[in-house]
Amino acid sequence: MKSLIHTYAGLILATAATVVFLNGCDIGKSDADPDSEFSKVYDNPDMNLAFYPVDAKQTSDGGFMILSVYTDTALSTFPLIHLLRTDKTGKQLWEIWVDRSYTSAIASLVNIGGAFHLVCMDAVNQETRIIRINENDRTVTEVSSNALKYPLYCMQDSQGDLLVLNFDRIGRYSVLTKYTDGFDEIWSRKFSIVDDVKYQIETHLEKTGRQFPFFIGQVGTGTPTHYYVNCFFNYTMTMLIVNAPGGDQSGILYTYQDDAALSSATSIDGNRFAITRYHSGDNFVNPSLELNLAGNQSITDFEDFSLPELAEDAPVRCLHQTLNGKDVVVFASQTRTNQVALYFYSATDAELQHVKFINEKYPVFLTGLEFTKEEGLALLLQTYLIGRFKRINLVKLSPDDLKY
Amino acid sequence: MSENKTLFFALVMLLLGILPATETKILAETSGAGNRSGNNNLVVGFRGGINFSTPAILGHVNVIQRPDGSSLFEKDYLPLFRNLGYQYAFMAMYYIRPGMSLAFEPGMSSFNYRYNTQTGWNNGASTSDYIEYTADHMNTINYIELPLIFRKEFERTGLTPFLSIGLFYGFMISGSKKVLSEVTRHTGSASIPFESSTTLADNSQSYIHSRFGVAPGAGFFYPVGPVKLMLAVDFGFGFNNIVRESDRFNNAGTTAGFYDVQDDMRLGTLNVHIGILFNTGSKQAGKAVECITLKRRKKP
Repeated sequence: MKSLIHTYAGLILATAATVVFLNGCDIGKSDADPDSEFSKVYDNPDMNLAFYPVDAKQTSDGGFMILSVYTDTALSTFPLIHLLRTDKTGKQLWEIWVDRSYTSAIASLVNIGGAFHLVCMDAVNQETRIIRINENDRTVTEVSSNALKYPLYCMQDSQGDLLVLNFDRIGRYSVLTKYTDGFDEIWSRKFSIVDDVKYQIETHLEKTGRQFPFFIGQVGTGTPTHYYVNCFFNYTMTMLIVNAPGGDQSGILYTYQDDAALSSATSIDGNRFAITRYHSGDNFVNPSLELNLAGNQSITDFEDFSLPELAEDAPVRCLHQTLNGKDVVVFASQTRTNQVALYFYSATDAELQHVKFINEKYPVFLTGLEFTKEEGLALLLQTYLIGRFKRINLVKLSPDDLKY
Repeated sequence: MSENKTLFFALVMLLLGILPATETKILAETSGAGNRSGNNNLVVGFRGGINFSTPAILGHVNVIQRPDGSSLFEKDYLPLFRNLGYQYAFMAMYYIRPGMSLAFEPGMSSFNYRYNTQTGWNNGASTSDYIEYTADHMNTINYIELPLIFRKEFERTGLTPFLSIGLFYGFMISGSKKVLSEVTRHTGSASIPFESSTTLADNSQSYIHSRFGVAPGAGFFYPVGPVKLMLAVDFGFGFNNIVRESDRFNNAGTTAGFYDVQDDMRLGTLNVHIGILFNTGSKQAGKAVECITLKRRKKP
C-alpha cells in the first residue's frame, strides 16, 4: 500500500514537473510583436474598382505608404492614383484619391525633405508630373513638371538625386533623365528604340497589356559610378549601362525583342550583378554575373539556371541585403501555383541557401519588395479577393520568418 | 501572462502540498484495520461527456481592411451552447480523509468554437446589386489534459453531492478548421448562389501547445454496490492566450484562402461529465476510511 501511495504521489509530481517544463517552453515562444509580421488585404466595397499596387515604402514610424493605381469601368484610359497609409501593424489609417488630372503613377515613392513624392503622368497630355504627399493634411501638391511624356520608372540614388525613365513616342526614344532632389535637370540622354512600341507602352501603363520590367539601379554603394537601366533600346528590351556623371551609354546587355527581358537585377559589388530573366514564358536566374560595364553583351553569353516553378514571364524583385547576419541576394517572385517564392542566394559564393514559399489560394502579382527597418522583408502584391476583385496585399515578414 | 502562470503554479504546489501533509496520517490509517480488511483509499474509473466552449477575446486581428477601418470581416462568434465538443478521461481518485479526495484524471478533450464572417461588394452606387461573401468557420482543438482535482463530498443518503476545484494543464495535439464559404450575387430581389464550398484545413500551427487554468465545479456520486456513478459539471477558465502569435499569419491555407487569422483568446469551457468509479479494495472507498477513523477515536 505504501508503495502504491508513493507511486501515485510521484506520478502527480512528475505531471506537475512536466507542466512547468512545457509551459516554460511554449508560451514564451508564442509571444510576438503585432507589428513584426502581418498580411493585410486593403479592400474597397465597390466591385468595379480594380487596384494595381505600384510601390510601397516604410515610413519613419514603421508604417507603410502604399502607392497604387486603380481602374474603374466608368473612367478614363489611364488608371488613376490612390495612396494608402498604414500604421506599423498594417492597419489602414487613411487614403487619398488623387485628382483625376493625374494618372499612371509609376514605382517612384521617394522621400525628399521628409515628405514622400511620386512621379506620374498628366491625364491629358501624358507629360511627367511630380507630386508631394502632405501627410499632415492628407493632400497632394504638384511640385514639378516637365514635357517628357510617358514616365515609366523613377529611382532615387544614394546621393538623393532622381533618375526618371520616359518614353518619347514621337522620336521613339527611351529617355533617361537625372534630376537633383529639387527637380532641376542634371542631364538627359536619349536611347533610340527604332521600333514603334507606343502600343506596348500604353497598354503597360493602362494595365491592360504585358507589364514590362522597367527598372533603374546604381553601381557603387556610395557615389554611383554607373546606372543600369532596363528599357526599350534598338528593337529590344535591353539593360543599358550608363556612366553616372554624364549619363553616356557605356555598356549593353541585350535580350531578344520584347519576348525576352531581364526581369530584375541588382548590383552586388564592382561589376558583379545578380539577375533574373524571362524568355518566351520561361524564367532563369543568375545569382552572380560579371558584366563588362563598357561593352556589348548578350544575355545568352552567360550560363544561368532555369526556375521552372515560376509563372510565365514572372515578375521578379531582388535585393542585396544582410538578413539575419547573412550577406544575401533575395529574389522574390510568383509561381504557377499561386505561391510567392523567395530565393536566398549567398552574395559571396552565389550558392542557393534557402527557398521560402508563401501559399496563396488566388492568383497574385508581385509588384514590390522592401527591406524593412526591422531587418525583415515587405512584399507588395496584387491579389484577387475571393478570386474576383483586384486588391492590394501587403505582407510583412519578420527576421524570424526568414531564418534558415 | 506571467502573473497567471505564477498563480497557476502556486495553486498546483498548494494542492500538492496537501499530499505530504496528509501522507503520514493516511499511512497510519491504512496500515491498520483498513488495510487488513482489504480497504483502499484509491478509486479508479472513467468519465466522459460533452463540453461547450467560449473564447474570451483578448484582441481582434483581421486580414481584410476596409477604408473606414471598421471591417465587415470581423468575426461574429457563436454563443457557448453552439460550440459543442467532447472529452473522456481516466480517473484515479485518492481519499485524503473522509469525504475529501484528490484526483488525477488524464484524458483527451476536443473543443470547438465557431464564428461567422461576412462582407460584400456593391455595383457602384447601387445598394440592390451586390456580391456577398459569407463564411462559417468551425475551429477544433484537441488537447491531452492533465487535471488535478480536489473534491469535497457532503455525505447524504444515496446521492453524495460534492464541490470540486481543479487545476488543469492541456497539451494541444491537433487543431483544424472547417470553413463553409458561399458567394451570392444579389440583383434586385433575386439572389443567385455563385459558389459554395467546404474546406478542411490543418490549423495546428495557429495554436500553442499549452493551455492551463482552473476549473471549479460541482456534482454528485451515486453508489451502486461496489461502484460509484458520477455526474459532474465544471467550468474551465483558461489562463493563457492559446493562439501562437508568432505564427499567426504563417498558415497560408487559412490566411490566404479565407483571409482568416485567429484572434488572441483564452478558451473557457463548460464541461459535463458522467463517470463510473471502482474500488481497489473490498469496501466503498472514502466511507471505509471514515469508519476506521471513528473506531480509532473510540479507543481510550
